[in-house]
Parts: sequence; structure tokens; C-alpha cells
Amino acid sequence: MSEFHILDLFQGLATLVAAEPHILVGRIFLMALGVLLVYLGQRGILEALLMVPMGLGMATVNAAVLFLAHGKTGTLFLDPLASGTDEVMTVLQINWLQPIYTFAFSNGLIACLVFLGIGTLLDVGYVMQRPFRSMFLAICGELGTLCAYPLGVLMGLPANEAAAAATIGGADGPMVLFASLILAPEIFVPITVVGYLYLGLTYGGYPYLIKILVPERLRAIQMPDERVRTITANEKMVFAVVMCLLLSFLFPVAAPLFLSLFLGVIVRESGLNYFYDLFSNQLLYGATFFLGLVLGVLCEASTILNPKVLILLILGIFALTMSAIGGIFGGYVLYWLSGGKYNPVIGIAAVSCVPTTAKVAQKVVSQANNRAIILPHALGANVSGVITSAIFAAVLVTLLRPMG
Amino acid sequence: MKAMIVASLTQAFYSFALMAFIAVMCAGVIKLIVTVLARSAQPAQPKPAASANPAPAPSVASATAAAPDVITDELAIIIAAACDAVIGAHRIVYVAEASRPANWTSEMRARHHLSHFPHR
Repeated sequence: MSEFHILDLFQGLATLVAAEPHILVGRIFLMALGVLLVYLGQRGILEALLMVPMGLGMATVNAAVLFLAHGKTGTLFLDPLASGTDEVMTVLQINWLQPIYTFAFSNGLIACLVFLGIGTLLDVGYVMQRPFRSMFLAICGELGTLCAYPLGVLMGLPANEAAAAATIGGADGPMVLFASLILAPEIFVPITVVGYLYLGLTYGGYPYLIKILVPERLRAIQMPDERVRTITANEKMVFAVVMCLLLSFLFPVAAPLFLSLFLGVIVRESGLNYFYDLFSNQLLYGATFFLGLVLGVLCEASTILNPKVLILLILGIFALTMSAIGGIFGGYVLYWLSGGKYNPVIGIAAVSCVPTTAKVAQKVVSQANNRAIILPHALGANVSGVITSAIFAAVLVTLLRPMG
Repeated sequence: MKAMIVASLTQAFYSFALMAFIAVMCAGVIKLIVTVLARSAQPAQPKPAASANPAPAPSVASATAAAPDVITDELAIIIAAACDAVIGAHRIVYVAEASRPANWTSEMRARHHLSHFPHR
């Protein structure tokens, strides 16, 4: 009988022992991080719908590395580096999540499905009632993307990668995924993971930022009653059709996202309840689940360990902080223009993490004055933020997309 | 390196300005849509002749508009009283919704037939 090694039986351990030191440390760290994400998701500190599948996927994929043919190591989950028709066809028949990755993830389909679901949750009536104010705040809420892009270049990233990372400032997960898939396909995994991690933190972190930047006296401002006309469903549908066509004319490269978003809006307003139920429940949550799971599984140490990850971590937090500061600055400008009647906290909702930032704004205002209702204004800024994020990402993609 | 940073700054501000311009343009389009649709939705001015004899307002609201989803105790009493008035003294022992078909195939078939009316 030939010599028997116990590690030959347990290949996850064998590959760990055989790995280079930085991969070994990376795998252990990512397993621990995955478990931590599950815990934080379950506790409600991070977004559970995303973090639970992502965390468990991340932990499991780093445990389940095995020896493949020709002495290579890998997993039976998916291979993001597979290229060429033959290799892709081979891994499609072996790796269980490869079909989702190849046919739904790497072409942006899953981002579009999430956007379709988000569209069904958006009430564009709030934007239509106050379009200029909402758009002004949303423009201010893009400050993070504006500042993070040159900072990324200063930190040594190529322009396309810096721009892709800067889109985290738009605080729109599917948009970050879509932009990074087109602009920086080599590092789209760390960009998207960092983006979603930070987006999960906004609910916990932004209230502190608001309290630092806005004194309690101003947080308690009650918005004056205003007579706004109720926007009918037909008007919202006309808005969605016009905006979809207009933005697609201007930026064909982002047209799939525009179509998905505004189709969701139209489904919501059209009264097609079968579609509405499907898109706002099964499709949105199904896509979110697979988005989280595939993102987690992509976090295998040898794939994700990249010297650029540290830069992305800094850029991500910088971009989101600057966007929040920009939004609150916009709120202060409206406060000043309205003669002190506008609650500047509404500005934070321009950071388009729908509907989290609008809820954060209302929560913080309610703590200062439980009779103050700002949610309609905040939702208007929130929905506008989705539109401006899409426009900004489309501009960057159009300008910096690698050709050929 | 310095040239790259200057280029990225220029590009960032250019992109931001373009985004802001398009966003303001979108706000203008939204305002235009709302204004035009609000104007077209305004009811036509009534003719003076018609205003002399206005049609009497319906005194009873549409029954379907107010139909509740749940049969409350009050509603059961009203139904019982109405039945008593119409068909005489009968004991009503149970008031409930008609039971749904238990067989899932018939439900699916019905849904398939009704799919031509997507506005449920």
C-alpha cells in the first residue's frame, strides 16, 4: 500500500497548507469575514438580504478549495477567469454557479433585474411634484463621485478603474456593478463587494454624520404645508416613457439600466398587478439573493486578493462620505434660499440608496422633533438621486469605456 | 503623473457639469410634462345653458366602491335583515364568501382564461 497522507483526504485543508502564505492568511481572513457578515446581517447592522448569502458564500468558497487537473487549485462554484468558448463551455458543465455568473452576472442582467425591481418600488410622483429642488439636491449628492475619481487617479489607479470605483459615491449598488463591469472588468469583484459593504453601512453610519453636520435646532425644522397637486398614474407613466427614451438617446451604453428602471415604474403605475407582484417580490428578491451569493462566491482569496483592494476601501468610504456632505450642503443651500424653512437633513436623502437614506433622514428628524414629517421631500430627492447616479455613471462609462 | 491628475480633474468636472446640465434638463422636462398634463386634465368649462338645470347628484354611493373585503358582524346583520325582508323569516346560519375551488387545476385554468384581463 502506497504512503497515505491524511491531507489527501481533506483537500480543503490540503490546499490551505500548500498555499502561499498570503493566500493562506487571505483564505482564513475571508472565511472569518464571511461569518462576520452573516452575523452582522442577521443582527440587522448590515443589509441581511444581501449579506447573509454573500457572507456564507464568501466563507464557504474559501473553505472549499480543491486540487484540479494539472496541479491547479480552484473550486466547484464558478471560475470568473474562464475565457474562450471551449473553456467557458467546460466550466459551465462543472461549476454549479457558473451558469448564473456567465448568463446573468457578467453581462449585467442581474443588475438590470434588480433595477427593474427597484423601479416597481419607486414612486416618481414625489420628484414630479418638486422636480427642481429634488434634482438640485441629487446633483449635490454626486459630490463623492466627483471627488473620488481624481483621488483614485492620484492613488495610482488607471482612469477607468478610478471612475468605476468612484461610482460607489452614487450609492447605487446595481449601478456600481454595471459601471465596473464595463469600465474595469479586471477588478469589478472587489469594487462591487466594497460598494455593497459600504452601502450596507449607510443605515448605521449616516445618522452620526447628520448629527455632526446639522445642529439639533435645524434638524427639528418642520417643513411648511404646501399645496401640491396629486400626480396621477398616467402622468407618472408619461414621465417614465419620456425619461427612458430621452436618457437612452443620450447614453445608449446605459440604456439597459434605464429601460429596466423605467419599465419597473411603468409596471407599478399601469396596474398590471401580475407583473407588479412578480417584479417587486420574486424577481427583486431572487435577483438580490443571487447577486449576494455570486458576489460572495467570487471572493475567493486568489481572485480577490489584490493590492488595489486597500485603495478601493479608502475610495469607497471617501466617496460615500463626500456624497453625504454634498447632499447636506445642498440641503443648507435650500434652507438658506427658503429663509430658514427648509430642513437641511433632507439633503442626505439625495444619496440614492433607495429608500434607506430617505428613511435615515426621517428617523434623525423624528428624533429631534417627532411631529416633523419630511419623508415626501426626502423620497423626491432619493428618486432623483437614482436618476442622477445613472446619468453620472453613463457619462463616465461613455467617456472612459475601453474600446475594442 | 501630474498630467494624469490634471486630466482626471478636468474629466471629473466636465462629467459632473454634463450630469448636472442633463439633470436640470430632466427637471425641466418633468415640469413641462406635469404642466401640460395638468392643463389637459382640467375639466372643460360648463356651458351656461347646462348650468341652469344641473343634473341631480346621485344620492347613493356606488355599492361596489364601498364593498368591504371582510364580512363584519354589522354587515352580516344587514344581510340577514335584508334576506328577512325579501324572503321572509328564515334562519341564516352561516354567512361567508363562496369557497374557492379546491382543485388547483381548475384555479389555474380559471386564471389562464382570465389572463386576458390583467387589471385585476
